[in-house]
Amino acid sequence: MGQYILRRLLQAIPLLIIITVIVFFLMKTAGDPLAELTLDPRITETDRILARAEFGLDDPLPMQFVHWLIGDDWYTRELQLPIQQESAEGTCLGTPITDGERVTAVVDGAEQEMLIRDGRCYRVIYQNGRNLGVLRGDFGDSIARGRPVLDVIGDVLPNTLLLGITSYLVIIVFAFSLGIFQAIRQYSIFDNIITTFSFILVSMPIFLVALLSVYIFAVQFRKWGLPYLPVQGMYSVNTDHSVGDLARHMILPVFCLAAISVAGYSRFVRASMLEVINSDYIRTARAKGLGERRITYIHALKNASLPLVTLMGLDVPFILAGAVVTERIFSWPGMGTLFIESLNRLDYAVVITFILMLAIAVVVFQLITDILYAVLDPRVRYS
Amino acid sequence: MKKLFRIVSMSLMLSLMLVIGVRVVSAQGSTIVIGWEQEPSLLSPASDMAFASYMTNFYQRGHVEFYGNNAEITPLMITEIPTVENGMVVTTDTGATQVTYTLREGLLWSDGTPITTADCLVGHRLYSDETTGSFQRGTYLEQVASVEAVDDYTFTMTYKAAFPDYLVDAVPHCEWPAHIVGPLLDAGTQLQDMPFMSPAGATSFVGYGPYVISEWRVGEQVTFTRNPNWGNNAWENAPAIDTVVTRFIFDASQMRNALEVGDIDLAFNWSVDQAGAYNELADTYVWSTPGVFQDALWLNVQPTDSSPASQAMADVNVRKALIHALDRQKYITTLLDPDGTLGIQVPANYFHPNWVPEDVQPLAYDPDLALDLFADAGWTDTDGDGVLDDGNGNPFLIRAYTTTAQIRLDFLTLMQADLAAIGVNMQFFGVPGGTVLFASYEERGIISTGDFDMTLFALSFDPLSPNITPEWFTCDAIRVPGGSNGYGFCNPEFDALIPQIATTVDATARAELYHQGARLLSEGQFWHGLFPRNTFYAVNSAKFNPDSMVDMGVLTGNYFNRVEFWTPAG
Repeated sequence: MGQYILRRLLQAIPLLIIITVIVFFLMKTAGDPLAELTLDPRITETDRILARAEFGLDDPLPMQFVHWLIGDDWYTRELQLPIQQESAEGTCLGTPITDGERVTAVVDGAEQEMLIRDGRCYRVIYQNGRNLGVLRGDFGDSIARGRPVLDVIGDVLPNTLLLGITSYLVIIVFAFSLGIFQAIRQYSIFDNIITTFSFILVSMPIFLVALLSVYIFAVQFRKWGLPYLPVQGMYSVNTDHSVGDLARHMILPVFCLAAISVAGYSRFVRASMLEVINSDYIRTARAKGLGERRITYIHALKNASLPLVTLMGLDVPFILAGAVVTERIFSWPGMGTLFIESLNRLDYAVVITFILMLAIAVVVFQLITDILYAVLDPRVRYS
Repeated sequence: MKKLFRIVSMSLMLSLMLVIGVRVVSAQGSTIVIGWEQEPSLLSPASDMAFASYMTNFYQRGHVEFYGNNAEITPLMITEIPTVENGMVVTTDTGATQVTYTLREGLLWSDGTPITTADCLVGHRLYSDETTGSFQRGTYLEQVASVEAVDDYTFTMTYKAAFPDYLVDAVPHCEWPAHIVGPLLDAGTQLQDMPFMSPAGATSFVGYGPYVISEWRVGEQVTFTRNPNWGNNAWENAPAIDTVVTRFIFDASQMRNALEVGDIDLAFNWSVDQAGAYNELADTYVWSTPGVFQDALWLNVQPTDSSPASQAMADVNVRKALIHALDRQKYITTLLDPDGTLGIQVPANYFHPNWVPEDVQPLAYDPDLALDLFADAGWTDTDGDGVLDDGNGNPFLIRAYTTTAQIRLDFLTLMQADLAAIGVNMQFFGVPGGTVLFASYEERGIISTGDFDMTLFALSFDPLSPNITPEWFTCDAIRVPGGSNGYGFCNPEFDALIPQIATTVDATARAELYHQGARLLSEGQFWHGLFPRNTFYAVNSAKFNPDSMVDMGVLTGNYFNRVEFWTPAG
């Protein structure tokens, strides 16, 4: 088993490199994240040049990838900053100079390298990068936020995990409860009602569930004079982060995230349980006089949950990704909101780190799923 | 028994959910919660400039303020507005403008430190050193020669040339505390890297304004509380509201829901098509203030298409006739303001109303006059098919382009009907703005290359300065790489006015020059206003007094400047 895990982890390395390269080059070719600066008259040409240099946006694309990977603190960029002061023709700040020539002169007491390009004077400065690179633990700075990417993600990841894990627990509890209940009471009135609701919920897009739940549990409940639920954020305005306040704010987003998944998963549990409870070994267990509860929850459920483990193992990493629609509608400050905003603003450092995290989570959870599979089914052995 | 137990359990769970859901509605009369559709990333001008700057008005004010919807100028940190008349604005021997400013005595930063000239010198250092990473310095480097201290409260600012816009552009920056920013600059720290710029350090931000930042919950809200060092002087209006909370709500429909359920008290910057939904809310007052964008029809003065109708657009009377055929106020009533409560009017001129002479008015709706003008230009319905023609079998058919915005397509639909009523055919197309309509000349953009008869879109103006954006309407910018005058308007007299307006310091003379420019643009008949892009607000009128809020300002640096004048209801 140890060798198997090691092999799987080693296999993941080229996969992660391929994902990273594809995402990096896709993001980089999607557009210029600082393009809008050129339209803003409040931003000077010099500031634009300095900003672009800070993020290495004018470096050749392969070099940008190298800098992202191993940093650019060792790399010196030459920046040509336009000189604002008027100079007589053929001179820069009083120093005679010809087009294309570079001259070093003392200006205002300091040595300065200058050149003329297309009749315009430029001051030449040399600047080293500040990025240490991913391999040295520096994922770069967010262009839109001017802060380290890990800080930006660190601000919102706990919120996403809180929402995601809670939703997932709700999904597991309700999906298994309803699925088992339906399987042992197949074709009963309860089974038919739950099946009908499952189909309705599975057919509904999540934004519709979210907007409807807001309309009913917040807007209409308030109109009807009933207690109503908050519709946005994690806490009320004037509270000191109490657990009760947080719980109130989580009800609607968790409900929306869980409702559709519960409907889908409960169908899987029902089908899987039906297959198992009609098998020979369950009949044998009953013949031996085991209690129905023990048969259902110990012997049947263990085998019935095998297909669910694979399904859920694939879904768990996406808790990290956040729920884009739900987070946006409920103004939940999480990863989904951050991802969309970063994508819109071509904040490539955040997007690449986000996808890299997700890819690692997928690889790890796939491995955990495989291991769990072997634990649940002793017939499965890896070598 | 088991069933009963389950039913009771489920009922208890439901009840628990409902009890948890009970909202604690406390008396929050001295807290206003504003729904904010974007979150500033950093308290730095390096990014999120627009929204960050609106929020800045809660905690960081400048030397002068532009209050209200007409942007009236008021001295805040200085004793009086410098003018030529009071001798505080002079012209140096070299022809440059020099302005003297005197800070008020008794100004305090939010940490209690007195504000002096030293703070303005640090501002100059920040804005004049291009390596300090302040990205919003505008024309400061181009225009400002020096800032010199005279004493602790007086300093002079000398420009490189004559500069009449000294109140609104390349202004002094006294909003950064020298005792905090100075040492950081000495240590080589960039503005955006200063610790108080990030959400984690924002509560240590020291500014001069009615509020201070007391909490920034990333992705959720920023809370501002009263600045204890503001309100002790006559010129500082002590806020009646203790706390201002900007709550981030990214979804437009949720903004309205949040107002309805009481999560927020003020929703702003929502689109005009939501006005009806907001008007339906109980205890809600809805209003709008002027924006800096106006949607307008731009007509091609130098048509590139060879069709007779397109070529006819070169005739100023044909352009006038087209506009006379359009009932623009009716479109506004139909599409934007059915009840007339928002008071939206057809804009008279491209520029801000403050700078437009009274004699410049929108062309009136007059279809008979339109037909007469068409007839004078040789376009009548000779064959009785209901469409104007030139007598050679060529019908009057023009092409109009706009973006894919639904409201613009709706306007064009109504216009199409009005034009058809007098025998003018118009085809219109909604195309992607960035990549097709507004693309550069090199990328063969529709407007840049003049490949249109009529187009509908919005441009912004500066309500604080009468300076004309030169390259947009000058002769040398017509359909050339880098040029932005795709309309073909060319008037050398207008071109000559631009540098004069930019350098005439005397206010009266400058206004007269500007009026001349506005008239010349109007006579060109290539720009015709359709509707102003107002900024819309809705406030909970049961909790707050709308009368104290309606004079909100225009969408530029003075937005939310009046927050300290807002009062609770009653």
